Amino acid sequence: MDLNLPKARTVKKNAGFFKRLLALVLDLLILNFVIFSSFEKIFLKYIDTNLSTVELITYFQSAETSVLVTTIFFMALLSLFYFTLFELKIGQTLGMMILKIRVEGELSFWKCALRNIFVFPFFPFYILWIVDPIHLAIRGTRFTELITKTNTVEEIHI
Amino acid sequence: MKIKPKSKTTQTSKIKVSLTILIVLFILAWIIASVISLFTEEQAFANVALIPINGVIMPDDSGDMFSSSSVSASWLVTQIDAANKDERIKAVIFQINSNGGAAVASEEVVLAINRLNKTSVALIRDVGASGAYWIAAATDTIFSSSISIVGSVGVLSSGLEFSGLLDDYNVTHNRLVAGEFKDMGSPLKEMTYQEERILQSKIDKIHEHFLNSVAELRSLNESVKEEISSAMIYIGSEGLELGLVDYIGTKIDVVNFLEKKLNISVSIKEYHQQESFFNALSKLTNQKSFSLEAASQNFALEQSPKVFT
Repeated sequence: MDLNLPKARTVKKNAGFFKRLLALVLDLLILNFVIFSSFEKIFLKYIDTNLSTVELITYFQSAETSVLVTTIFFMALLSLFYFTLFELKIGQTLGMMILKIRVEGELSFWKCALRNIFVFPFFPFYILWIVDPIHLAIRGTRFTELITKTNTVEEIHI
Repeated sequence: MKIKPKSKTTQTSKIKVSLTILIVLFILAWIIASVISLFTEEQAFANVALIPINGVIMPDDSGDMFSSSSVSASWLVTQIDAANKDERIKAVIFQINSNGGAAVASEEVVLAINRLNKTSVALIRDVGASGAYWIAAATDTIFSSSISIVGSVGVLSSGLEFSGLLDDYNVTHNRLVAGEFKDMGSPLKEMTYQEERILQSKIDKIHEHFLNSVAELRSLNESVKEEISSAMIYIGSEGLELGLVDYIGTKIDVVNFLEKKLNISVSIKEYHQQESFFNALSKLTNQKSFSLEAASQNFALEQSPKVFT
């Protein structure tokens, strides 16, 4: 018997702010396990965990910080690889996969890298920590997505 | 022939790609972390802290734009306490090149060194006078060059007075105070004899406290105490005879001394205070054009003359 029911429709829309945020948090948790844990011993070697925040800041100002900066650079570089490779190969990171959102657009290695350049905690990239969320809140896409002509979307089945 | 559904194939492929990426990144992270650890092992295991004390000792990093350089007592105390907590640090070297500074700031550093439960050594370079010598006296051992300037155990509280200048320019200072001695030492009025005696008695008391502390820290006998009470400066070799200095030597001698005493191979970690813009600028110009002493209520342990060779 043919019921002649209406076909299911799929509507795409920009992924919501909190879904993206949660996906990022999940990705950071995965990165913490896969990448950051290997570097933990270097930080413990250089930083006395008994120091208070003020003492820690003073320590960072006074101690030889080149090793820490190098370490942070490599951690950021590997994190960038994580986001870039996942988005390039399967169109979404593991966090996005869990939250059922994905990246759309003509993806290339450099576009994916540029989309995620915010992971570098150095000037001028950390400006994106402010610019991207503001752009996202106002325009519904991140500033780096605008540049790379990509977007993060979620699909809604109606 | 069975054909797998497309979605299932894609899902399996995604899992394979994800696992490959994660494993590759994990291995890369482990390799990079190991290489960094290998290259930094020696540096990380520094066992002697070197804290430089250069310039005027101030309570905070408040050196004015005209002073050549200053060191903050708060910064010094933080570094000393941090070195004290760090179990890897076995000794602390204080590399001194200072004429002294504010009395309370100097004492704060002295008290922090007294709390230090590690071997401490002072290495006086060009000058270790007044408040800076007080700090050196608090350490276990003092090294200096034979021609370093040491001593100057005195207090000064001098200041300019502008009342005559104001009169010359017909400027009136309207004195409105509640409490007879509230504006004692103000540069805008002539100091009375009574005010001078009061301020002098305060300086004498600070001097007595300073002198007693130095004598106690260095275990000086009465005759030496009497000798240094004039705030006289001494060169290193004279200081050695008086017991103000323990050894004549340089940084190499300090390292050798520590290696012998603690039976360790010394690896030094040097602490640096971040320089203010004006300090950096002042170092660039490398000249002290003029200095305005602050109000006379600020008691200073600073030895003004400097010997250049």
